[in-house]
Amino acid sequence: MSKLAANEIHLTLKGRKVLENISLELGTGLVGLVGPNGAGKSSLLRIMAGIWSSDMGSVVLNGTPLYSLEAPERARQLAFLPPERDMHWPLPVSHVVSLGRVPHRGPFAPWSAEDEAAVVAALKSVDADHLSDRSVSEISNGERARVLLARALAVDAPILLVDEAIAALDPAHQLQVMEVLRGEADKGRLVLAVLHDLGLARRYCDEVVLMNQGTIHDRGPAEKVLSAKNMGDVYGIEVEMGMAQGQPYIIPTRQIKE
Amino acid sequence: MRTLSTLGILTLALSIGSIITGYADISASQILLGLMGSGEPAHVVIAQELRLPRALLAAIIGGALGLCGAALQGLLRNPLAEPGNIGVTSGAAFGAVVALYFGFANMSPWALPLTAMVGAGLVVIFIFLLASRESSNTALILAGVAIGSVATALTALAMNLSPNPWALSEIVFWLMGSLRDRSMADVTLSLPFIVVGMGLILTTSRGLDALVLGEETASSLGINLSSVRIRIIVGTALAVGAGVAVAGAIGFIGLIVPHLLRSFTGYVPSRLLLPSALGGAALLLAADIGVRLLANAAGTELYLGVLTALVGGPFFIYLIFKIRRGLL
Repeated sequence: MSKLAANEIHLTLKGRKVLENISLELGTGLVGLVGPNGAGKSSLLRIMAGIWSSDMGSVVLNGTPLYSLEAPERARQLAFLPPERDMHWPLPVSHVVSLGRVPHRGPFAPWSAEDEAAVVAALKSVDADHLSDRSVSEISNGERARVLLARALAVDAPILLVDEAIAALDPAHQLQVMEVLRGEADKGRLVLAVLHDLGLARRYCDEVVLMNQGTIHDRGPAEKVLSAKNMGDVYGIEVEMGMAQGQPYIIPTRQIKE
Repeated sequence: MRTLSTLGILTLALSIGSIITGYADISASQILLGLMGSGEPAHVVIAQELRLPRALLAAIIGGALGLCGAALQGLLRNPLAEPGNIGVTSGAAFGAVVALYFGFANMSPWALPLTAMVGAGLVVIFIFLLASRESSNTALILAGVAIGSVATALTALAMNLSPNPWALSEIVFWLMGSLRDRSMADVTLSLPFIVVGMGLILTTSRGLDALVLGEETASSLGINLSSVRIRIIVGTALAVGAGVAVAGAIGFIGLIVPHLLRSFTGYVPSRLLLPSALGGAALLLAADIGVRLLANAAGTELYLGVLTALVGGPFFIYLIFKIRRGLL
């Protein structure tokens, strides 16, 4: 089991305080990172992935500060999926997914059976194995999102950090991606996912971290954190919550006007 | 693999074609005998001291331009980038002209390639600084065009100010490039830098592959982006700078070649590098054969850059339209 901890993280970008004294310790499970636009979710995710550095504070992976890890070693432990889905060339899907194996291979190492198995498994888990020979330029947006998720899964890392993996996907694909993330967490991995859909966060996440204005407003089990009071305090919205067909739901009903 | 061997054979054939093409009325077999060191002494001299360095320079400089084009396009994720249109060759030409007309070149034969490499290096660094702030492809190319124009103007200015009476005709050499009257000394002067520069660029292949997913993902995959950038900056400065120092600024090779070969290499940036080097060598050899065949017909030899621009300019416009329609 991996442990990823952020300790007293501060970050200022262009004179604006983006993160203020954030401490967060995570073990396993599917953890939703939610909060309004500009709350600092994506910044925190990038700092915890080791691809941004903070002004103050440190991120510690299993007792070792991230900055002291060699880049490939860090990359084998932490897989990261950004929200951008632009591809610069019409590459074959299988090649894009195989890039997830970069941290595992030396500069001139041959493609191993293990690499191949990881790519095949990753494509299968997002239900995209039939796409492997297609070009990323000719598949749909939803298919591309799944292929890029497969790329992150192919790293086979114990920790997966994803930023808005379900944004701009249709409801069926949103559910599918959430199921994949849920499955990864059930394998004993840590999945930290920036989410905007409160209902899906409530339904799929073991734990939710609610951020607001660069700080952690609340964290804990999804049903506790995604409360009507918190939604009012942080988003300034009223919500309708309940259960339908045995699944919890949250619907924003209106903005609270001062 | 098939792409590489096809290009290898093509380059070899064009090298032989380049050696048997020339202004002296000597048959192909006589020249090839001369190349081996046998046959008439005059043929030996022409083959070994005129034709051979010319063919060698066309191959290595073309190779450098093709490779740098492929690497820059991969790094900037921009199919329009190449050493010529982002101002790197003009920067190198300006560096060379400064050495020539302000006397540094008299101090040491290495001064010329050195200042050319510095000129090229400064332009690449500027482009990368800009690319890190401004992600738009168009802005980058426009800035490159502007830098290129400034470097070109400075080149002309430096020559106008110099006391050299032949300056005017030489401006054209530096702006358009030529392989006329080059010798083995030019090969010795440029080859080491070009080899080191190309070697440096070839070490970035994994980084270029990961970069198709964007800078953040590449970095999350353990790629050290600053190291990749530095190796490509230094590699391009060395290879293009040394090439321009002996042949002047030849444009468009690095634009045309990677584009033509990309689909044969599955669009994978690392697989595009070596084929682009071979393709660049083949294209410049062909262009250099072309200017001599045209000269035999028309009487005067065109500058190489004239020929590459006549083909490359329209090609550039075609690429822009293709990108606008979302085909790239």
